[in-house]
Amino acid sequence: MARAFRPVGGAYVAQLDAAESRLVGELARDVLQMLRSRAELTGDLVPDDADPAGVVGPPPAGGTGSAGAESSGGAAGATGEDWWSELGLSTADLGLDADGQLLPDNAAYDVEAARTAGEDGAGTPGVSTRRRARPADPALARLLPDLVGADADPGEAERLRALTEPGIAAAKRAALAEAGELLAQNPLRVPAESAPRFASALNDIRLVLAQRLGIETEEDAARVSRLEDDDEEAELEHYLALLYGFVSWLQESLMTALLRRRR
Amino acid sequence: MTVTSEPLVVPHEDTALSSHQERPYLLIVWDDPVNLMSYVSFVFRSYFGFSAERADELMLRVHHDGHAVVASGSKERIEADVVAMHGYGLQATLRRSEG
Repeated sequence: MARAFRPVGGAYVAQLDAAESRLVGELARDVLQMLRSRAELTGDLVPDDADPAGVVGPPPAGGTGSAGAESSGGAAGATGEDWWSELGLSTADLGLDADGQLLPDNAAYDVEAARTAGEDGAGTPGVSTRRRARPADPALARLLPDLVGADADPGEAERLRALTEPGIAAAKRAALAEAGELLAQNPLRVPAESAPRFASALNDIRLVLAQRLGIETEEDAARVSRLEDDDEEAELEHYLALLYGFVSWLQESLMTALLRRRR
Repeated sequence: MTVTSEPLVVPHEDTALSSHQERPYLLIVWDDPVNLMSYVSFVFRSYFGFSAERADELMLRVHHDGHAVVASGSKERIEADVVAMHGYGLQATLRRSEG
């Protein structure tokens, strides 16, 4: 039976069964693998794997540079009489590039590079016109959501995603990898400086499980919580619900310990 | 506030830049049924440096109203805030203020 996190010296310590640690560790590696597959497709993976220092780095502060983004207008060209805008959809919904061509799934598409066919130049000038489509997997899309709502200018979500996704995803991968390593110890000891990253890794695991369990509303969440006690339910649903409940408990327990200390 | 670990990002004044612009950008955090209330409050405290009371108040507003404006400022500043929120796994977007 697991025991909640409590502050011990400069760390937070919880007691998990070997099976519990192993399961949560596997979940961390599963979510990490999802993000790795995405990064391989988008060509983002090389830098942070080559640089182990990235593991202890803080979440991205976003300083991707402003690069005179005002001119972006590229999006305006293709819209207007297109069928998707009639339906209130943006190119974000369709994964289209600025010319209305279908993007390969999960692809990073560099409009500027495609036009000038030379990206080895100064590196940054093309940045403000880069576009990237939202992940096709809804669980990945939940981990890496758009930065703007559906009412934003067409193409804005893809432009911002191209600028920011590599950093966000790298920080998530680092936090999940670290969580996987921490979960291999017994008892589970999370150093204070790692606690926010550990909490966000647990949160990402929960976001993925929640998507697989179809949790969209508070009612869905209540339904899943009832599923935990209902072993008549389909085996996989029941199992996922138990995992979701356990990781939720673990994260809440860390929050309780952290917030008590920070009051 | 007693800080036991390094803040992840240097806190900033949430309205510092809005006086430079007539229509600042807004950081909107959205309610979702997955994120724990304690976690949302924790993120507001660690990232923005809000007091416990302020963080809880904003968290409850997100929870009850479905969303809340948590910061405002220049486009670059608010983009960075959205990136940080997404790093933590919160649902957040930016939009320009209606003026």
